[in-house]
Order: sequence, then C-alpha cells, then structure tokens
Amino acid sequence: MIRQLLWKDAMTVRVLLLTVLVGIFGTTACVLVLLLMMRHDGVLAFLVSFWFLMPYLFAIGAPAILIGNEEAQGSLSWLKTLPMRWQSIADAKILVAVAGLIICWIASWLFMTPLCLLFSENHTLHVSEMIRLGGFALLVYPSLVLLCLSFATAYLFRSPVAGLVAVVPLIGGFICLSALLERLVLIGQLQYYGDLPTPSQRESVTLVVALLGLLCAWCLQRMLAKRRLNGVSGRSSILPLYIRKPDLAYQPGVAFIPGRPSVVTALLWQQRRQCLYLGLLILGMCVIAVLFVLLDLSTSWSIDFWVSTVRLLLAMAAIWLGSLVFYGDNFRNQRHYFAERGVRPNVIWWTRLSVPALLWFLLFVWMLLVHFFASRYSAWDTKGPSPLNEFAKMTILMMLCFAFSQLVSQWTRRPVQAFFAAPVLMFFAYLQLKSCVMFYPGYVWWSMSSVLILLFATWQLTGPWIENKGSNGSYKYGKPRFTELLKKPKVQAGGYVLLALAVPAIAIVSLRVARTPALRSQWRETLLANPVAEPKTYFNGRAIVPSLHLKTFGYSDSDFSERFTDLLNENEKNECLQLLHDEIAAAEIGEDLSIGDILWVLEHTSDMDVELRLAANEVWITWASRIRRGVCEGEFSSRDLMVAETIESRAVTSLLGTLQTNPVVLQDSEEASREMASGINKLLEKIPSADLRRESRRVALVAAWQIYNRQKWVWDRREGQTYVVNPGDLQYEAKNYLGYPIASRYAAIPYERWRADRIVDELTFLLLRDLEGQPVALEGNSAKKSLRLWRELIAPVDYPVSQLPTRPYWTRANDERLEQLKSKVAKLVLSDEDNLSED
Amino acid sequence: MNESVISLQNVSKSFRQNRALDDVSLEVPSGTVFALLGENGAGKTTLIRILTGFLKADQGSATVLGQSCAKSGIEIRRRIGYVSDNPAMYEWMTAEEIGWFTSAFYDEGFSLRYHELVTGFDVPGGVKLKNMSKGQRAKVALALATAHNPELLILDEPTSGLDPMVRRQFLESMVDLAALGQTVLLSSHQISEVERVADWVAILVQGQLKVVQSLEDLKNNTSIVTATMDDSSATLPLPPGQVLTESQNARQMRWVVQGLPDEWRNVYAGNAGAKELKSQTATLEEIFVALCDPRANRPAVDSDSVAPIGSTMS
Amino acid sequence: MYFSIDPNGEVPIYEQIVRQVKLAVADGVLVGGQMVPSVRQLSKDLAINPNTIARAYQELQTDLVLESLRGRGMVVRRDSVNRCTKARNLLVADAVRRVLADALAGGMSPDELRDLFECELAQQAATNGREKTS
Repeated sequence: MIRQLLWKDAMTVRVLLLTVLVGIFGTTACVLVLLLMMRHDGVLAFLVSFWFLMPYLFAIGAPAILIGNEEAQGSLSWLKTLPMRWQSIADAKILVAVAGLIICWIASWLFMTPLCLLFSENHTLHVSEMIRLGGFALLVYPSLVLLCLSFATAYLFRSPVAGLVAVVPLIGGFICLSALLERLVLIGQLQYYGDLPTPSQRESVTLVVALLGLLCAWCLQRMLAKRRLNGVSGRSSILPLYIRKPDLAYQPGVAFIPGRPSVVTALLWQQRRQCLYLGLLILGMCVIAVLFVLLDLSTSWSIDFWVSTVRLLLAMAAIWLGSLVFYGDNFRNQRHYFAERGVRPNVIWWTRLSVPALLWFLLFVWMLLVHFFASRYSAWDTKGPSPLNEFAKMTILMMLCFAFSQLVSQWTRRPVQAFFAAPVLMFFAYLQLKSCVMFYPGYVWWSMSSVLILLFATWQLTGPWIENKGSNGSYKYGKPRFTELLKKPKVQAGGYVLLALAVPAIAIVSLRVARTPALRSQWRETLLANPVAEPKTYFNGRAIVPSLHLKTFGYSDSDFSERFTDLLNENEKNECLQLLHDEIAAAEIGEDLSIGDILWVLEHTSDMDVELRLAANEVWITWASRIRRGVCEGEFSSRDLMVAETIESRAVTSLLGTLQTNPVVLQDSEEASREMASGINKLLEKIPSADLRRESRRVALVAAWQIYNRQKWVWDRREGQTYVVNPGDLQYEAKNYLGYPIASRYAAIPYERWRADRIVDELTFLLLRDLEGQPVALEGNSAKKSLRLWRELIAPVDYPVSQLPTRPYWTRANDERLEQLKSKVAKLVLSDEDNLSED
Repeated sequence: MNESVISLQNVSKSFRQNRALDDVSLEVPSGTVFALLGENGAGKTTLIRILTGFLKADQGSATVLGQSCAKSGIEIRRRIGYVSDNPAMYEWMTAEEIGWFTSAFYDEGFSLRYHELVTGFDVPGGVKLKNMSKGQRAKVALALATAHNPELLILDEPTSGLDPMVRRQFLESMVDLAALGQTVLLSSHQISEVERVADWVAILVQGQLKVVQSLEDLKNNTSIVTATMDDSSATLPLPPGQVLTESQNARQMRWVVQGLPDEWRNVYAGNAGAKELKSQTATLEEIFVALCDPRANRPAVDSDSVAPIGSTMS
Repeated sequence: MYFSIDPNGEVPIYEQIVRQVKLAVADGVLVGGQMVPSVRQLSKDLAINPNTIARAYQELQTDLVLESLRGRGMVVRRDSVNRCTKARNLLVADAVRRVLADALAGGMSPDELRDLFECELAQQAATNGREKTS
C-alpha cells in the first residue's frame, strides 16, 4: 500500500526536484565557466550561497506541492475515502520529501566540493569547514526543520500559497524559541550549578536543543496531518477562532444583486478577491523578515551578508508577487470561463496585472524606506559611487523579478509550481545580468527592455492562455511535428524569455559595434611603412630609469627630510646645492636624486633661495630634455615621456612662480635680480625646443601604437587580465597603450578586441593630428573626443574615470605658460640690460 | 424564415494520424432543437469546438449565426450560450457573485433573468460553488449560459452524471428556449432525452456523418424486420430498402432496414424457409446502435459511396 | 389532465398526445369549454419538443376536438364528446384486431379464442357492475 503512495507522491514532486537539480547544475556550470575565465574568489563567494538556497527552495516547495496540488485536484478527499490509515498517507509524503531533500543536498555537495577544492586557495569562505561533514550537517539541519514546518503550514491552510507564505513567521518564531530555550537551558541550568558553560558543554546543549527542535517540528506537522487527513471534510481548516455558520435546515435562496458592473470593475473585483490577501500576506512577511534582519545587525556577520540578505528578501517578495498575477485564474483552469464567454483578452491582461502591480509598488516604497533608514541609522552605508544608483539598480532588479515571474505564472502547468519555478528562472536571469554588468555597467538600464518584452509576451499570449483548457480532450497519436511545436504557446513563452535575456545584450553589443571608429587603412599603412624606434623597456619589469619609476612622486620616497632639516643654515644649503649640481652633471638620470627629492627641495625653499630653486628646476629640465631625446632614439618609453612632461611643466610653473613673486622682493637687490635673470635665461636654453617636444611626443605615440599592435592578446586566467610574454624574455607585460593596461573586459570578449584595436587607431590618429596642427584647447572638441576614447579603452569598470595622460600637457595652455615665462624673462633681461646700460 | 443558424460544409479535422472529422456537412435550421449523437470519441466535441472557434478545421468552412468560426470565435461565443461538459467557473464565488460578475459581460436584463432562473432551479444562496453539489453547479452553469437570451444555445453533454430531477430541469429549459424560437444544439448520450426534445438528429460515427434527418422521418423510415426460419442453416434474401445490419440468433434473423417499402413481404413470398415475418418501427436507440456498432454485420454496404441518409436543409 | 408519454414506443409522441386528449374527452376528464395548456406550457411540463405539441394540437384542431380562441389559447369543443367516443371505439377496435391477428398467427383456434373472450367479458362486466353499484 505504501509503495503506491510513495510512487504517487514521487511523481507529484518530481518536477520540483528536477527544477532544483537544474538550478544546482546550472549554478555549477556558471561557476565553472566563470572560473575558467577568471580567477576570482568573489565568484565563488557569490555563488556558494545559491548552492545552499536550492535545497532550501526544495524544502519549502515540496510540502506545498505535495499537499497543495492534491487539494487543487481534489484528490485529497478521494484519498480519504480509500481504506488506508492517515498515517500511511502522511508517512509517504514526508518520506518522499526527505528523500528528495537528501538528493538535493547530495547533488549540491557533489557539485560544490570539487569546485571549491580546486579553485579556492585562500580559505576566506571557510570552505573546508563546509565540505567536512560536520559543517555540512550544520546546513542540512535547518533545511530539515524547514521541511517539517513547511509541512505543518501546508496541512494547516487550505490555500497552498497561504501555507507557503506562512512558513516565514513560523521560522522566525522557531528561531526565537530555540534561542530562548538555549539561553534558558544553558544559562539557567549551569548558573544553578555555579559554572560558566564550557565550549563542549555548550556544544552538547546546542546539539540537544537542535534535536529537540527537530522533534518538535516533526510532531507539529504530524499533529496537523492527522487533523487534515483524518478530520471531517468540510470543516473549515483555518484557526478555531473562525465561527462556523450553523447548517440551516432551510437554505435561503439566491439573493438578487441589482446593478450591473462594468467589465473593468467586475474583473478588478475578481482579481482583488483572488490575490489581494495573499499579496498582502507576502508583503507582510517580507516586511517582518527584513525588520528581523535589520534589527539583528549586532551579530558578527558581516555587513555584506546583511545587505545581500535584505536584497534577497526583497527580490523574493517581488518574485512571489509576480507569481500571483495569473495564479488565481490558473487554479483548476478556471480561466476557461472567459473563453467560453468570449471576453476580450486585453482587458483581462491588464486587470490581472493591476492588483499585484499595486502591491509591487508598495514593496518598492518599502524598499526605499529600508535603504533610507538603514543608511541613516546603521553601519550599513549604501555602497558604490552614488546611492541613487543603488536605488535605481534595486528597482530595476525588482521590476525584472516581477516581469519574469508573471510570465512563468501564466504558463506553469500547476499553479503552485509558479512560486518555485520563478525563483529558479530569476536566478539564471540574475547570473546573466550580473555577468553582463561586470563588463558593461550600462547594461542595467538596458535590462528595462527585458521588462517590456516580458510584459509584451504575456499580453500577446493572454489569448491562447485563456483558451487553453489544460487537458486537451482529444488524444493525438505520434510525435509532434516541429511546426506544431513552434505553435505551442508554452514554447513561445520560452522564446520570449530567451528574447528578454538576449535583447539587452544584443542592443548593447550592436550599439558598441555601431559606434566603433572606422578603419583607417591608408593611415595605418603609412604608419606601418615608417616605423619608429621602439623602447626596449618593459612596463612592469626592469625600467631603464629605475629611480624615476620606482621612486614615486610623494614625500615618502625622499630621504632629504632625514638628511636636512629645513635647509636653514648655510651648510645644508651648500650641501644640497652640491647634490643638485652633481645630478645635473651626472651621466644617468636619477642616479642620486629622485623626483621626490626635488619636490622636497622646492617646498622647503623660499623664493629667496634663488640658487637652490634654479638648481632644482635645472635638474628637472635636464632630466626632461634627456628623456625626450631618449624617446626620439628609442631609449625611453611613452610612460617615461609622461614623467618628462610632468617635471618639465612643473619646472616651468615653478620658475614662473619665482619670477612673479621675486621682483617685489628683489627691488632692493639689483645684483640678485641680475643673477636670477641670467640664471633663468640659461635655463631657458636648456628647456627642450618646440621641435624636440613635438618629435618626442610623436615618436612616443607611434612607438606606443606599434607596441600595442605587436603584442598579442593572451588571457591569463589567474590574473584575470591580458598578459603578453615577450619573446626572448620571461617577463610579463600587460597589453597596454601608452603604458596603461587595456581594460580586462576587452580581452575576454572577442569582438571587443577588434573594437579596442580600432579605438587605439582612432586615438593615435587624433593625437597625431593634434600634434601636427595647432595645440588644442583643453575643452575643445578634439580633446573631449580623445578623452572619451581613452576612458573607454583604459578605465576599469568601477573606478572613477582616469585622465588621458597627455591631456594636461599637450595643450595650448601648457605652451602658453612656457611662452609667458620666456617673455617675462626677456623683459627682465631687457630691463636688466637697460639697468646695466643705464648704469 | 428558416435560415441556417449553423452551417458546416465539408469540414475535416485531423489530429496527427487520428481523423476526428471526415468531410462533415450539415445545416442547423433556426428555431429547432438539433441533437448530435455519437459514441465517445466520434467527433462530437471536436465539432462543437470547431463551431465555438476553439479549434480550426483543416478543410471546409464553418459558420455560426452568419459569422465564420475560424475568424470570429470570440464574437460567436459572446452571442451564443455555451455549456461544455465540464464548465469552467470560479469555484470560490457564490451563485450571487458569479451572476453579478457575469452580468458585466452581457446586457442589462441579464441579472434579472439569471435570478429568475436560479430561483426556479432552487440553487442555494450564499454557498460557494465548490461546496455545492454537482447538479447545482450544472444548474448555475446553465443559468449563466441562458440568462442573456442567446439566439443559439450549444450544450455539450450537459446532463452527464446528473440525477433525473436535474436532467428534467435541463430539458425543460431547453424546451422553453425552443418554444421562444431559439435554436438549441444538443450533444448527448441520453437517447431517451433526445427522443423527447429533438426536432432534428445527426449521428456521427467515427468522424463521419451517417444520418442527418428530422427525428420523425428517421423513425418512420427505419424498421426492424424479424424472420423466423425452419432451419438455422437456411439463408434468406435481404429485405428491400437499405439494410443497415443483419444478425442471426438460432432460427431467427433480424435486419435493421431503412426505407422499407410496404410490399416488402413479397420478397419472401416464394421462399419456403421463412416462416414468420414481422416488422416494427425502430426506436432511436436501436437506430443508433445499428449505425455505431463496430461489430455489426453490414451486408454489402460500401460505406464510402453512401451519402449521409436524409436531407439537409439546403 | 395528466399525460403519460412513452418516447420509445411504436406510436409517435404527437399521436400519443392526440389519442390521450381524445380519450380524456371521451371519459369526461376534459369537458367542453375547458382550456388546454398552451404549447409552451405543455412542452415545458412534459419536457417535449414544442413542435411536437404544436403538431398534436394542429391535428386535434383538424379533427374538430379543439378550437382556438383568439388571444386565449386552445379550448375543447363542446360537441367533441361524440367524436372522441367514436375515436376511442376505433382504437379499441384496432387493439382487438391486433390481438386476434396475433392469437391466430400464434396458433390458437377460433373456438379457444371465443371461449377466452366470453370468459373475460363476463368477469370484467361483473367487476365493472360491482364498481358501478358500490
């Protein structure tokens, strides 16, 4: 007897089991694909939670389906008429559910363990603990309790959805109760004996409490099973507070309701009756659960965990609200009522959406409140560049949840299954969303089009949905032909889902491809025909100017602060001056001094120390001109050139500053002013000429372009970036342009590589053209365009955008400053000579 | 004024290899009660679903109330009343609620007429449909379908599984509508019911229309001839007219014959083997069984060449 | 009056109605000047196609048993009793003819038949007489 029951229940629940297993398998596949593409512990951390969620989904869903479906088909009452004990029925159901749950956990464990072992090197996830049996038991136990509680609510409530949603407060109550119990038992008992609880005692008490809890849950569901399966049918199964109307000997006749409603009113009334209470229940549960999470922020779990939990709760609520849209009409195929009366599909469609959409809006308001208060009153601040962005993203996610699940709810065969199939589908959609967002942050806005597509899908399919009678009535021989399959509405619905997933991606890709700069083949050929000397330096490897690269711009790399104390006395000044002069005369750049040293000198001298200042600036100018010459000869790279530009520009600025303040001071000392003017004049000769500047820039640019074209795209999984092995040398170098590595998303996607090539070409072309003509204004069109191209190529996804390194320097302003300096010096020299001649 | 309310011309429908309807043509005149008889799976439900626009015929044309079934299914369903064999209703509504709800889709008089009907049917008030008995639910479904005074009422086995009282109430409703001049298309198994109320009868056998005739003509035309023989091994000639079936039981032979001429006994005049010859009018049930029984012996009948018996209204 | 209709029988339904009306008139159940139910009402009461009822009424009108009162329906003619009695006698005669044919075909001899007839007639007349006097 029980074998048949087991078989029947297994058949009922197999779809859910398959869905969950597909979810687990899908998670594994996605993780595998992502991990093969890049090494990122974040991936594993993100997806591990889904491996756990799937069996929990089964634990909630199996009782709902096992009992709810029976109710929907009316077979529960039929079962009661058969000569079997209610215990057999209840046993069969719980055995099947437990077996299914175990299968889910085994699948989860089997798939998760090897991946975690293979790919997780740093044990930030406590992965090893999870894989061990003890750790796993910690996860399996709550699911068993959840299963029992879910059975309890399914037996208690007639409506399967009510039973589903009522699990949430029951869980909350259970947790509170067990925590309370543990505290009472632990503290109470042991305080009685005057001892503090030791870890082992604590563990054993926890174990006892856990087992007791499981036993309680099992007893609860057994009790309610007896009540449901054994009780007199027709008795209201909701709480005993409900007062039943006494059965009248004389049934009153049908009352006459005057007034005829409009079609819209009638349909809205019907949908309201069908799903308002359930929707409010779902909303209420979400509110309670989120409050529970927020108020419990004091534990040791990380902020990230809470944020993601709250987001998950909101998303689930949005999904389940979406599942309500077509649920009521799908129950026992009641929608066919509309078909038999020829009601138009349009009005049915939007009245179905209306009530759940209203509830979604309330959920949206709740989401805003949560974000607002959480950011104000707790340590959780809305991460990311702008809170507005976070709100917008969460809103779009909730819209997507609603849109996907309303389509699912239209086409699942059994109404309750919509509540489980929708989360699984949304999981895959979310994975796709997240992986696309990793590459294209704008993808989130494009996924609004998915929402529109999904809503269009249900609008389009409402007609066939109404006429679909569930069972066909006339049986068909043989396998369906392909064209027949295409006409089936379920297949069309699946097609719409795929379309919704694909359209934003396609839109973005096509936009990007359309906006790719055109190929300038002739220009390329010209450039290729006239190669320039390439520097033999590497970016990350040995740099030929180690002191310039390794020693950064900051103070920290200057040891002058230890050597000198403020340069106040003459000894120090002379020592410093000597160092500077040595450097100027030195053969190699940056042998003894670094950029930081010069900076220190400039900051710690006043304009009175003309000599020091001039010497410091001279060092910089010497370096700059040497680098420029080196670039032209292929000795230095474009990165080095940028350094040269910086120090040259700073030197000019510093000299200008000195000139501007000094005349006031030097009015008294003619000699000093004469010295200064001649000194600066000498410096001016050392400043690289305009031709040298232009040539060095041109060579650096073309060399960078050549290097870029020479390097091959190689995707290194471990670092998640492109690395190129230069032949003959085992150094790694990122594929770069002007020394900056290309954004990694370009390497991952093939057509993006082609795009990157074009952008590099265009950028080089623009910059070269600007070089050959007049220097451009900082805010001019050309400068803006090249900045935009640069940001596309280089700037990583989440960081604030970076500046085009050439931007401040290859501009008119820069040149004008130099001209200003020259003219000022000329004036001074002239006036000096005048003075001299006057003397 | 007897234009056709329903018109089917050479309609065929197949489901993969199963041929559900094979070249069916019929006309249903207005103001009649038209009964569609046939075994389960003969194609009655398919025919009705084609008429209501749920299915599209593979070949041929179907029109209801002058509108094409393939194109205007929804409009047709709005104009007619349709009670399927398992009517879909919202089980959580009470009789009042579903009446109020349905009145939105029809005219002003719907509420009042519906109330009259359900009161006449003794449907209890304030009780949800899912808590009502099967018969009460069927009555509510019938009331919903007829309260808007449709020109055509299509009933697909409405009384299957209902008690005689409820069946009687259904018949009275049908008859009342017919008296008012509306057309009723009834698909049923209850042959005794059909004999009471039908004007016209059509019999579908495995997708083919074998009979379309007025009930009276059909019954008048069909006779059962029994002959008692001396010897069980003797052979007798067939009686004149169209012989549907022949059967033998020891020394008696029995034929179901259509179009039996008055002088039929002359055939056996010279035959010494035939002792007693009787003929009597066939009941509808006997006609039905004779047409539908797959194991019946049909002497010398080439079914493909035989057109459906009776005349259509064209 | 109450009708009892056998849809399966040899006799068509409209003919059954016609006969039963005539018998009722002959028995005095329906008297001249009494209204008969309308077509619609009768069809609903009996659950029979109204066309059948209409045809029966038509024939009864032709046979001068019923007449139509404008605006009020059909009414029994006052002079129809004799006609109905004759019709009843014709029906009885038909029944007797059929019984005799069956009996003779079955092999009963005329003498047996006559004896049977006399016996039955005597018995029935006696019970009828007793009913009439009691």
